[in-house]
Amino acid sequence: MAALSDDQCKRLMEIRLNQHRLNEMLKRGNFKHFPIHLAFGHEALAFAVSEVMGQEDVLCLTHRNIAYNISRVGDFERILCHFAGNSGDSPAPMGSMNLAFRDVGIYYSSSILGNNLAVAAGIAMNRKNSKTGDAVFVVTGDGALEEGVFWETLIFAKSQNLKLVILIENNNNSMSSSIEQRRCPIDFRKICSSMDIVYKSIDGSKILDTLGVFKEIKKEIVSGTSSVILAEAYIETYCNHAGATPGWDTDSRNISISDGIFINGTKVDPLHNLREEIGVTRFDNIYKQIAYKI
Amino acid sequence: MKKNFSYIEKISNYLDIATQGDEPVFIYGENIDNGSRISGLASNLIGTSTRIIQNVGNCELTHCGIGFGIMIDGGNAVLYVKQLDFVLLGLDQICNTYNYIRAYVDPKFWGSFTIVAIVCDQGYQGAQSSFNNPGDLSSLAGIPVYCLNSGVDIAKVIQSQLIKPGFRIICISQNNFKYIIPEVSTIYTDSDNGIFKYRDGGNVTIVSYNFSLNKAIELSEYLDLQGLGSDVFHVNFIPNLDMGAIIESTKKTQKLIIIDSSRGIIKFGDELLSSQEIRSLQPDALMLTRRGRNNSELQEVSENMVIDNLMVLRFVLGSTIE
Repeated sequence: MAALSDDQCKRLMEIRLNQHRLNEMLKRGNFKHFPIHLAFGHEALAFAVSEVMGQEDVLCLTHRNIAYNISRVGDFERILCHFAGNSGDSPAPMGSMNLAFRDVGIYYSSSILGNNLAVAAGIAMNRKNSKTGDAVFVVTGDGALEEGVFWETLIFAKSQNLKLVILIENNNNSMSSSIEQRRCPIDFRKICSSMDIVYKSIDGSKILDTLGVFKEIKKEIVSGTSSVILAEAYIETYCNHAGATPGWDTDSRNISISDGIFINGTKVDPLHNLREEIGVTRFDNIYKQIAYKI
Repeated sequence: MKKNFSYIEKISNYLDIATQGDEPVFIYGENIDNGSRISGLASNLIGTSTRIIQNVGNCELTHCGIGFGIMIDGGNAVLYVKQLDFVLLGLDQICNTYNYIRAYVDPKFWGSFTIVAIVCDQGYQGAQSSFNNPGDLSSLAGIPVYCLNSGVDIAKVIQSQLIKPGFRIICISQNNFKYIIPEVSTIYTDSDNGIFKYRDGGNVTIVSYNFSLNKAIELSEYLDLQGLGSDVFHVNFIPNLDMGAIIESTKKTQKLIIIDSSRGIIKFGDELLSSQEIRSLQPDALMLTRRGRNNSELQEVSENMVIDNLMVLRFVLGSTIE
């Protein structure tokens, strides 16, 4: 796996840094009418998906879409204007849970659990009918996969051999319940094997590994060696469901930009891993170039 | 010799014609190319380079999402559904995804998505499988829902609405499948194909909703025999529809009869009656409906509404006869 360029490292850090900025604004009460679901800990996935997406590829997101939007859009002010109730160049202000910028390939973000899976399959179906080779990426979670639409989409997508990449962000949480607290475990390796669907397991805290897997996925989709691919990424989300939750370990009010880019007390933070992967000196030098935003 | 087509033959012919153009369209549904081909609804469809016919599994919620996905991507999708009840499984997509599209996707990117659904009103099948209130879907999601009643509206609605940017549901009555539908002509049709006027008369305004047009025309013919003329309209379930033609008619007749064969408790006819324009006219009004308020209506009941002609005659004459 080739090392990341400085620009790539910057993009990755900006996903984290801009979430810090948002969190500070949330703590100040800047967005009273917009419950923004932060995604501290999701940065490696958002970065990797964005890196491998081609010009015509499509991404469909969930309510916790902020890391992907920051990664794809680049211009953070463009995102902020929607939280401030301005539409910018879109037909209407999108708020947070439906935030999706079509011009960068994000066609849909849904606040309804599992709802985006079927829509993504429809886009992939249309691309198949149009005989394009474009890939459609759809993000879901370990809670949404309990919805019937997850299984229906899996069956439909495989039956039609759609170029659909389903990314499960497995953070072992649905609102405040862990998997163990709410359901039986599911072995997706076995599920996928039974349906002849390609399965990939990802450690979502490891930047280079995550990027490597997504490069493989894109290659398999483009070459046609795989159609539907299910990627299960194990991650930790370092903030609570949405907004402040006093008394919780993951209360985002306990996260402060004054502590720098990292989040205190985290164990498998993608940013920690990035620093280990590229070295402390290089990390700090790159960080200094963008830290003025703090 | 001109062939008289049955209701279902006419509909399947127009569905065939409307999807033969150069515009690519993806037509899908359970058993769409197998067995009875959805009770004959899809019997004419043959796949071509631009018309893809796809038999799919039993996952209606996902089918609805797929239609919206195709629409978001600028494509055209038509989903055939054997029973209106199945559409209930797709309500999340119909409400939420279409709201998203309407709010945030620039219409220049919109493709078309249409659901063609059969309403199983052909007879008592049990307490389930007899949802016949497509107007409720229109009200819930704020979407156009068309109920095909006559040869004229079959032609106009399918030709103008089946493939058109946006989303709608077109409903078909299974009760009417085998009937040779009368070739009634229209006096007036609005540009949305929301209102069809079939008869002209000065004594009473009759408005049909759902699949009640036959009843409305029968009633009008009965009143004709009594020397009383009626304006007869059929109105589709379209939010924010311009009801000017009906308001003008009511102003003329001062008597308004609404016939609605659906079992929904709240009806579009209620909205018409409570509109400022109608209330200001203070017409005599008669609702001939089923409301579905009681559990007994879930037991074996006739699908056919029975209209008491004498009672209607009394209403039109102002209760002057016995």
